[in-house]
Amino acid sequence: MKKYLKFIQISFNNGLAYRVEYFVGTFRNLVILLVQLAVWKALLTAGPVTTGSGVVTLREMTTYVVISSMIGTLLTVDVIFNMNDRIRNGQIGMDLVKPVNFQTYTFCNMLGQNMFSFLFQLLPILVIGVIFVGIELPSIFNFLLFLVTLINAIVIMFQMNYALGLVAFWYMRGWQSTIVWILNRLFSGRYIPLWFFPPILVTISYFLPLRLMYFVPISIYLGTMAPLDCLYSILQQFAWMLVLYGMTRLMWRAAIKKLVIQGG
Amino acid sequence: MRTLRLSLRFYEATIKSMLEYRLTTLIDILIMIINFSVGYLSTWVLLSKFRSIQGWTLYEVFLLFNINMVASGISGFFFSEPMRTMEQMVQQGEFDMVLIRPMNPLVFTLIGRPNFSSIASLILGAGVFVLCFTHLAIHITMLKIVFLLAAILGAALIQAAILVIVGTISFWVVKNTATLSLLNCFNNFIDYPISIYCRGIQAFLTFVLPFAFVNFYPAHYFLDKAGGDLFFPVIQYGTPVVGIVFFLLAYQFWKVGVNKYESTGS
Repeated sequence: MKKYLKFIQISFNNGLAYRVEYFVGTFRNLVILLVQLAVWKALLTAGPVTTGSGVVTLREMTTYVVISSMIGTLLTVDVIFNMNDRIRNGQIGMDLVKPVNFQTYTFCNMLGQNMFSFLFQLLPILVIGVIFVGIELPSIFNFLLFLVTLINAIVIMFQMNYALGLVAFWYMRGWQSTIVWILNRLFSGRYIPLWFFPPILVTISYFLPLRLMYFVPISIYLGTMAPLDCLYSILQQFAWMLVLYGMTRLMWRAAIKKLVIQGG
Repeated sequence: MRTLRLSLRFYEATIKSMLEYRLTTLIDILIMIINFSVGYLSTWVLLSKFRSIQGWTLYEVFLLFNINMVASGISGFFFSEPMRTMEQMVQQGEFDMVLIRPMNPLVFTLIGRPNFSSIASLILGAGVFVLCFTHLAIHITMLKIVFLLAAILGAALIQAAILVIVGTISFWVVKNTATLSLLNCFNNFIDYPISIYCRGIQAFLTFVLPFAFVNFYPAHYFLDKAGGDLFFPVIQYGTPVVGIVFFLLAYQFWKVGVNKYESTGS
């Protein structure tokens, strides 16, 4: 346990080494947020809009966009890139020699990075969101549920990326992850809530874990999701976690058998 | 003339080597096409619900988006790979090689290093233009088509200038990926008509970093938009001129950078 805490700390400190990149990342997030705010303002100035699941107001959408932008700082991809590099350059051999669980180790790396992002990327957005934009605040119950679904989302995001990263044992080009990332942009509800989707795309989204990342937590935060749907979504999250856990275990076992490290 | 001939030779060689990895190249292009298509799909989702944004309808926004995609594709084909790797060239002293060639250093840095996945935006872009022209109820004259082509070239020069500026900064700043994403993030603004932003941002995108000239002003003219909210009405024809001027400025900056370059001497 102690060694894993150390890994988290090291990964957090690594963030400091990439200060400039983080600063730019924060700036970039703010630009994208600004664009999103302007888009929804232009779309909804005429008044609230009715969708299949109720009436959407500008203030609701503004909150949606700000929360989505904050979640975005925590759901990062670096895990895959890091794994791909390690597998490609053979560093994975060194990782295997260490008396640590590789999955836990990778997870700790992500946690450390997330803590750094929380302080230097998420908080700036929160401050700006509360002071300049004016976001809606949820009820305590909704907020707690939101936190649960958000933590689950972070875990699922990790598992998904980890599985995609493991593919590199067989196949070194990173296409599979690129495709998932492209789909994620649309189906997770990162930019456009699923309320506005035509039925066919909504149906597709039910078969993917992506909607559980942004759309579900934010809907719960806003209180637009019926209590039963909340429960159902959380169960779905746990189901995906289980499936992905089983899948990554199987993949890992097969990968280790197959792995050949050259030289030393 | 000699430069042109040499350049063609260089590109011929890279294209040949690229064809050796036909499948890889093809899949890269395919992924870029999927990537852009999802962008169009998002816009479609949004605008089939809302009909228009600040008076711009679905196919008008497609046209706006498309001009930038094609222009960035053209500039990316020639400039993105060399300018992204400038940082490495300077760090490892490889830029020495460029300086001792009997050729313009910028041209030599550029030639023979195309980014093939940029072709995706040309393929998809051609399709989307056809789609837009068939769905838009505008009167298309020969003059307008010529203007559109000139505007796309001007827009490509603006995007190229941005890449040259990023590459040139490598002469001073060792780690340069941050600059690229910093300048690139302004591109997010022009995914939508800039009239949705406050006046300050519009002015910034017009007079400081001329991203608005990449697609908003040419599309504004091409689509006969009512011109009430422009800084000056004449600005909507400006893209070709702004492209040349901005690129020349970037080139001057590049020359300053080259003069400053000191080899790492290893």
